[in-house]
Amino acid sequence: MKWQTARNGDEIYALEKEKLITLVMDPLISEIPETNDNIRGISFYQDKAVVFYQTDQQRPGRIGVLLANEPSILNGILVEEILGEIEELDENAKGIAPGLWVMKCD
Amino acid sequence: MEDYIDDLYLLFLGGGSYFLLPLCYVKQVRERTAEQTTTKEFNFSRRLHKDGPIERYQVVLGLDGKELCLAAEEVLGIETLDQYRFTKLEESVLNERNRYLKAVIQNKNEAYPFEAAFLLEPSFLHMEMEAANEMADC
Repeated sequence: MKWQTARNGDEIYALEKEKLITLVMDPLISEIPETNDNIRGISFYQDKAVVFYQTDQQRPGRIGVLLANEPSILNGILVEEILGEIEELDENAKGIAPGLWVMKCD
Repeated sequence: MEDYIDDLYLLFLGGGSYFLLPLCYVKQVRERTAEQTTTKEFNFSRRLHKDGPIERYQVVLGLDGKELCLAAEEVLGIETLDQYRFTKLEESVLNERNRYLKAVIQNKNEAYPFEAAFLLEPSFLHMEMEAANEMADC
């Protein structure tokens, strides 16, 4: 199974290629009142809601990577840079959302 | 075109976020005076720790014979919205504090400055208020 990787700050994310929908620049993300710490907010893409996740990383990138999830809700994460593809996840990869993993740099 | 009451919602701003309430629950919208700012008011600014905006209005809801007041910075008006455009919010974004959020809808009105508005579930507002009041009494 192939993974697309992307960088935000010193974090590397791995995104399941089969789930990749698109990239959007500077998505408009609205805060969700009193939501969980790992949720940045909600946005929209072609009439579908996109739940944007976040980590402790303080510098959100400008590129929104959108992943398929439910029929009417997509998942997203903000990144600074798109990197290459990998075949396997690192052992220490942590799942953030379906199809989205974080692998930290040392 | 007829407007059906089921498709009518009150749109207001509270704590920096935009909210929608089915009009059938709304009893009154009034100016918020010093006497009316009681502890029995649901205040998004306070809950979201947003200082600054002044809540000039109270939206009074009626539910099962009980009244609930929400503080609002602005009341933008009554919107006719297609229920099928709402996206139900999933567990991933909900927790014990914000279960009053039922769904989200994208703003399609160019006159408004926001992207998303959240549909409120009045029964959860009640429950959350009661829980908060109980904690305050302890």
